[in-house]
Amino acid sequence: MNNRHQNKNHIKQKKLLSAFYDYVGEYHLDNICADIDSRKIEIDNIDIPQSLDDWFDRYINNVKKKEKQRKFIKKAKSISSKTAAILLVLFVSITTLTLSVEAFRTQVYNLLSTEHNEYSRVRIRHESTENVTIEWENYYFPTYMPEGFYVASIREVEEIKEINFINENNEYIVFSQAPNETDFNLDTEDGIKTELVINNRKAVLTEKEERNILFWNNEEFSFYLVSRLEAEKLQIIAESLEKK
Amino acid sequence: MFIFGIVIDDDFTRHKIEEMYRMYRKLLFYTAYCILKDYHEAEDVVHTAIIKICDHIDKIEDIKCNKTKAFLVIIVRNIAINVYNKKRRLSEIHMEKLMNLNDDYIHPEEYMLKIENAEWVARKLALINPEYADVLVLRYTYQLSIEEIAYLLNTSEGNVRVKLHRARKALHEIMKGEYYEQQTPE
Repeated sequence: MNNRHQNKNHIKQKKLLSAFYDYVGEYHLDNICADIDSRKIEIDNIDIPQSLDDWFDRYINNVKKKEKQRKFIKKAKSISSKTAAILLVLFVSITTLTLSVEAFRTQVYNLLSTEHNEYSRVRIRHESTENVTIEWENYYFPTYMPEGFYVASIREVEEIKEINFINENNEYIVFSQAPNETDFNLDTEDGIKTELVINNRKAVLTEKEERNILFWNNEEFSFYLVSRLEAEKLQIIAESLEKK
Repeated sequence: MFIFGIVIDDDFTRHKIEEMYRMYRKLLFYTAYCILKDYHEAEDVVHTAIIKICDHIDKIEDIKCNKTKAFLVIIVRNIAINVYNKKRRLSEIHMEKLMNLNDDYIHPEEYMLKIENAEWVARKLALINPEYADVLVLRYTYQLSIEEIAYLLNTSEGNVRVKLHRARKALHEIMKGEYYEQQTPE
């Protein structure tokens, strides 16, 4: 209790002293100003070196430059944050558009498939819907194709190359090729199998659900054709292969 | 004159610095030159003072008032004294006799009883050592922190504390007994 009282007194006295120092200080300032006034003529007549003014001009220009830089950085920061927001909106919009429009969906599918390749070993290099140019090397291509069919798309999955032909009636022919000993997974279960000869080699024709699947091979590659076209036409196509 | 934490537009600040320089450049140079008696050194001191004052320009409200004028003189004067002392290899604190001042307690109320003589006390303190009076003013009248005073006067915080302590002791000595009684003006 006594200590608290002493502390309180000490604080009061400190305040009192501070007020006194301040009061004395005010007089000290008055004295300084009076002293300056008494020397006014001397002060006014003193020669200032030109270099002092030059230094000040440089100094103030530097201040201006720094001020400009600071303003520029501030503006740049503000613009960059706005740009980031705009980019985010654009990204979201494009993503929405991409996932909702058919034309884009194919492209995104390809992209995802390619990325997925890292894990599944499925590689899709190219897929398109028209004006397809085949840029593969060392592949077979049929020199005969029924009238009206054209290459609609191609795809490459590991070593399997697949060319899809269609016509205006949406009839299709799928032609696939891969080095011998490559595993093909073809759904021929419960189909009617017939043996044929393609270029002096045994071939297997499977008819299932109105589709014909023709499978054969040569010295280096295995092939198959899948279509609803007649088996005879598929056989002619098979025999017309030419290496590119 | 002093305001704290105020946000001033940049152009306004720059104009204030320019106005301050144009108005007081002769006074600042004169103050430094009177102590150093050397044009180049006086010029260097003014450079240092301007840079330091500009860093605290937000605390100066009115350029034309006496308080600003005195403030600028205090800054330049103390920086010049430091330069002068260093040049002459003198200790910045050379009123050693004040260190041995009698620490007899004077009740603060007694200070107030003699307050009518504050002008004379201030003059007396400045006579003992103007630096003491200056540092006292910066601390108690301008309400600057020890750190701010040290920066403005281009010295260490320790040095400011010592000067402040000695200023209070000197004031104490002035206010105390015989010396005061004998020299108090009529």
